[in-house]
Amino acid sequence: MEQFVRILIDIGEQGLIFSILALGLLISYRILNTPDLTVDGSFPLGAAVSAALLTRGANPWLALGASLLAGAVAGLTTGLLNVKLRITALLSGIIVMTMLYSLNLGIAGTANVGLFNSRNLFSEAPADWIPARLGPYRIRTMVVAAIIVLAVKLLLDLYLATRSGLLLRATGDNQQVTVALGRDPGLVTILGLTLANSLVSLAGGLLAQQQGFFEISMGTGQMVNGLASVIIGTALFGRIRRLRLTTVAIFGSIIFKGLLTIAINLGLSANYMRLMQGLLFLIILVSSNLSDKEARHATASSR
Amino acid sequence: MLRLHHVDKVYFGGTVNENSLFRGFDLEVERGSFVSIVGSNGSGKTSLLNLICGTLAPDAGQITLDGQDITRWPEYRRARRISRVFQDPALGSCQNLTVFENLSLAARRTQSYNLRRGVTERDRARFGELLASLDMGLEHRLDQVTGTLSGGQRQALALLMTTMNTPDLLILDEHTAALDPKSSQRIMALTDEIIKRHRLTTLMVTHNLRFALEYGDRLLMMHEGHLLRDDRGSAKEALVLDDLLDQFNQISIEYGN
Repeated sequence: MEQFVRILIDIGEQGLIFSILALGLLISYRILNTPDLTVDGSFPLGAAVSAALLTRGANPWLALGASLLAGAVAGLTTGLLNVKLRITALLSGIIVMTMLYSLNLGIAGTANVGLFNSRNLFSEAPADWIPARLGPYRIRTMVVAAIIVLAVKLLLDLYLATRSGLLLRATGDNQQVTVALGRDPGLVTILGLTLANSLVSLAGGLLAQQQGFFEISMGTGQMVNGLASVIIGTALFGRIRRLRLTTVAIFGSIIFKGLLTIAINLGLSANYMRLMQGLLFLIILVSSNLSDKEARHATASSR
Repeated sequence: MLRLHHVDKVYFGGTVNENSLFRGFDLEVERGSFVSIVGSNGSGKTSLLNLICGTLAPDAGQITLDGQDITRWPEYRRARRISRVFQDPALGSCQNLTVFENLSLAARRTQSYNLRRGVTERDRARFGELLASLDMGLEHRLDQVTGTLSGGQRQALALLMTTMNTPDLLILDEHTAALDPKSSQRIMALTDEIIKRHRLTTLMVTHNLRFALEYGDRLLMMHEGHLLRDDRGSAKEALVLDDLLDQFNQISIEYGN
């Protein structure tokens, strides 16, 4: 029973933190329709920035904000390479991701940085306002993570409902419409990639603060993680019209983490984690392709 | 109003396949006129529209709109004054956005895409009226995504989206060619109605000679980057389908189209 509760907390906490990553990929992959590999570099970038600031005793909220800004610069760079230098989105992302590896090392100082003795989001206000009788430390981290996720989600919902947000959705859907509206689709793409990587980097910073360390390879496979979450969410809940895309991505992230956590608890060695992530992603991708085809077939025949 | 002055356009320049489509091409379109353009495949009709809209850059020459040189303007910048309806109805709207969202986007073209609300319920009645005037049943589909509409409905929506801010120049690029005969008739009649209501300056490329004769006040026949005919006013009124067909067949036989 105790182990069961522990697993549930693991899933909730990890699923919530990684759902911010999923929200980032929701923007680049789902809304802008762009495969953005910057993610594998901008996620650890957020962690590196938070780690570097926390070890110097900075305010954890300030550190998180700096993580977000660093991600924005990374996304902006990818966008500029893609739009202004006309390098494909895929290659632009790979170039920035590669360069970020060195930058991340430079920012963090070393490949591993422990933060156990530093202040973090979960060690002080407002986290310590949550009464201890509500549960152990892990419960508090989950509550704080949930509040941050909810805030990010609501802000993103608000943005997507603005004129600018609508133009972003239009650009991913049909660039010709953006052109017809007299706006440069390139600028909108740059804006979208900036926004997406800000969120990815925010997720990296939050994870570093929660797990108490930065590690240089923590970005590997994060694009797959985020994509899998978005696709699993869309496949399972996408048809429910009352659910917003952001809600769907958060649910997807929690379910994906759930599947991985169950696999680990069934005795899968942590060495096989990335293999498992890749395979799981493959299965999700193939099955959602199949169900898409069925759905298309169904709408075509109902006409 | 629109003026093309000594425009050159060469395809595959500097290679053995060099093909100069336009050489010193001139065209002037007056404000308020409705010009139909016909011609065989490869005659340069669509290239002409692409040059005007900025999808294609001329090698030499000048394109002006109301005296303003727009030759070097990118496509999106010209789009603030020139609106275009494509042959493919899917190009005119966003398939994953609702009719309401698409119209809201189009309505803000002359304003700014800032952080104010993208869709406001206040617009619902106004958009409903506009859609009802199309008489395509779209007024009941405001909250439906446009991917689920028929080709004719989507083209009617595209037409509404491009004209709701009264562009200086309307470009119709074989915009009825992908539709079934009935929708094609309906969209053409609707187009004429909208053009008359807003007194829009219009260029229409069409493969339908009947439409070219029946609508508009000027007719151009193009061949190999030249104007073979340019009839306006009463000369255009006097044209009959057989004249056009004969001439059309002649070029087609000569060039094996």
